[in-house]
Amino acid sequence: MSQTPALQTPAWDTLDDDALFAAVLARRGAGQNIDRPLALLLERWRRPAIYVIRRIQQSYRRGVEHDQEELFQDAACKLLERGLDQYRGVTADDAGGTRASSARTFFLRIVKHTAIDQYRRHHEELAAGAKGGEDEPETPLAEVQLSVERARREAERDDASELYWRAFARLREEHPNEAVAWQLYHHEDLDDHVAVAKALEITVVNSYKRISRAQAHLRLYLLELRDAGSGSP
Amino acid sequence: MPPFTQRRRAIDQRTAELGGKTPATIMVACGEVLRMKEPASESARSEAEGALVVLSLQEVETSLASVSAGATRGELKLAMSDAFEAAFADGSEERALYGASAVAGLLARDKVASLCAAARARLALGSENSTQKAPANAALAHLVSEMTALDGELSPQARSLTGINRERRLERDKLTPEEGAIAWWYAARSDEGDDRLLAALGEISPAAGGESLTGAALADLKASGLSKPTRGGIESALRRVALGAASRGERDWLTARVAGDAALQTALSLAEDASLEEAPGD
Repeated sequence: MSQTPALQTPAWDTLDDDALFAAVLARRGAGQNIDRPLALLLERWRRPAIYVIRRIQQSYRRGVEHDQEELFQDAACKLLERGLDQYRGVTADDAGGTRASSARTFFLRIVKHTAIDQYRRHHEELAAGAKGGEDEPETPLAEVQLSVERARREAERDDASELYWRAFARLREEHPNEAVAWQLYHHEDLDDHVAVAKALEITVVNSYKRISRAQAHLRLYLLELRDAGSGSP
Repeated sequence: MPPFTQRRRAIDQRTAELGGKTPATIMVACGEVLRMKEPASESARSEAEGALVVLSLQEVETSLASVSAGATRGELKLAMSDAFEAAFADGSEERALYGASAVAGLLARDKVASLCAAARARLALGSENSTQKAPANAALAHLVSEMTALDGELSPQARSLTGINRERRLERDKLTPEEGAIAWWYAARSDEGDDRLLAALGEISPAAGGESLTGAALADLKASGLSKPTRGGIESALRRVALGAASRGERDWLTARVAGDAALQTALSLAEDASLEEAPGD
């Protein structure tokens, strides 16, 4: 039986980055081994990734060379664990649409947020320590468990956030009046219909109505996004 | 058996309601009869077939080609919007207005289904050969393909129509089971247990809302919890900005949240720095 080009095993190094990445995605989808093409891609992306990490280290004025390799490995793990399923080859733009982005750019963005996360968190821990936080140091096993649990929570929160913001982007586009009221009440923490009504120069009753309708729209959009994700009708 | 002219009266009446006697309105009126579970009389189906068989293949082809998928889409979208408004209407009069408008929008899609049913019947009844029928068959296939795409896009939004479920059930129950299964605009999520879904999602009357919802509506209620942005969502938002996945709304929210926090501002500035992604490769 003939295979599609992406599932064949050509001389991997003759493929450009995007073709190689497409082959990784196709082989993963078909349950085939992706070690060789993925390793080749990561080797190609190592230098630019280390450059990104160095730039972020410089911004935070911390980090050593050893960290660079560790962060690169973390980013590679994230690409493997979640990124391969997330990659859509597009980036959100300001108009609410999307534009094309390469596989290399996608990976370097993962590297970027992995490094930012690391140093931002480190900065917060130092700040908390300076304020007198004296927790017992974690044992290595507890650290691993905490790290796994944190990664799971992050993934769940990222998924929920992504759906929420996609639903809100649609609300802004299709029902701008409801979106503005919702934004004031929930995003800008007015949390009060009198204040929303005053800000929008509408009645308090109208504020209630707009928020209710915004909530119903958002929940409908969320359900549709979930249906589309699960393939349900 | 009543005379032919008398038998045609019901179809003529419906044709007049649809805007006057044209091949297209005759086809819609006949298609409606053919799709009905219980037509007005036993002879109704044969009356419809009698009215169809006298139409020329050219008339059938032209009628099919006259349907605008874009206009039908517009009608359906408006029906969804009006059905949603019906669920949030102030009082029975406003509800009735939105309900009537939404039903009119759904009828636009239903007419296309009737037109297609009539075309199929006409093509099956005629004595012409397959070469002669080919252009009308092609027009039918094209329209069916357009409607399939339209249904694929809009049927996932059928929950928005639950605000006019009473009206939808009346129309749904007129159709044969086969047609009812196709006519999602009347049938999808049209059971009584879904009637209060929109109100429940908008929390406009929680006391009465929960009790009458069915399993599907209750499941929707549970699955649609909103992950509203909180301080804990800042990390997630930063990751999404860095990945280029954040919408403008999310970035606006994040920008406002990090104001006054130097570390978070640095993180956001780095996350937004697209020059990092153009890192030299060699």
